[in-house]
Amino acid sequence: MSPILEIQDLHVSVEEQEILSGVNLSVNAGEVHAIMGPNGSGKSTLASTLAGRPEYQVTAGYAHYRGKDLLEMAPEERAREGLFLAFQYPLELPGVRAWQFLKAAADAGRQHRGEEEYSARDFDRMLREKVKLVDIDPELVRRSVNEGFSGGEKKRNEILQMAILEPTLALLDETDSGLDIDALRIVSDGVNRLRRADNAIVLVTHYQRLLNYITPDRVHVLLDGRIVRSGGPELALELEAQGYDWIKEAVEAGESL
Amino acid sequence: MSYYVLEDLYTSWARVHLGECSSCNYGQGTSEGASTTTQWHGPYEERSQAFEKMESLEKDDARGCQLCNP
Repeated sequence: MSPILEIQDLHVSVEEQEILSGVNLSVNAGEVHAIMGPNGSGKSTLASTLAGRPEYQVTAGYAHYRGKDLLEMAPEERAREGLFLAFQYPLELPGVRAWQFLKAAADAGRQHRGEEEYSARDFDRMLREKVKLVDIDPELVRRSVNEGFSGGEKKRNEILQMAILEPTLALLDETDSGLDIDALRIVSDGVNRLRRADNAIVLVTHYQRLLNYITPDRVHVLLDGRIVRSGGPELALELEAQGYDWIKEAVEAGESL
Repeated sequence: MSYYVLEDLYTSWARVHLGECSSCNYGQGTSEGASTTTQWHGPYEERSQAFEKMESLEKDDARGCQLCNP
């Protein structure tokens, strides 16, 4: 079985400074992977590079998505091919109503797959179902995208987008940041309901607490721009108990983990 | 034809490559200078030799490169 995402020896720089220094990672269909690491380790750089943010320059290595060269695709092409990035800091779009934004995004994907655009009635029916799925206030989709939303509402709106677009590969960049415990549970429930055998989810997170609600298949520790340890869900618990220092010390001592 | 094995030194990951694969570049890789996270093994004349080497590394995630499909 070919992985949905295959990354090999990926090096990425921002403004001439290398942030990722040789990342190797494979993500198979049906899997949830958690990328953990201290601040500044390169977690968000990895997610942003895969989504195609232009300020991130790939200097070596490759990333294949469903057998295609992901790095050759424009960001919008990646999105149409089913790659989704939930932002750490979702942007506000004053004047653009959330439901219009969501319909435009959903229709772009359908057009790309050779399907007809949603009729207004069909989209409204689907939107109502998804709103229930992620437990978001229906009033929010009538307002401008993220304008005046609380931090938790913005994150829930990201998961609503994910529910509507049904991506093959979802990258969630610190979706848990800024959430209280109730919002964290609601967002996690939404993500869990979107897990399928034919998609994959990569969670970027600093803390283990998100993984109390979303059980990953694999956990990877990113340190100084490279994955220095991979394991099962128990690795996240180990990090919660001991922090990142023990891994830093082992890497500095040259120990193979 | 030559074959190489790329080993991740920190995680349980390895890939077999054809020497001419753009990602392998005959065991030089694509990054400038020596990588601190990976190590190339080879060249091997036979495909089976490369796969045997990969198996000997006892990595959980071990397969052929998706790019060159050795």
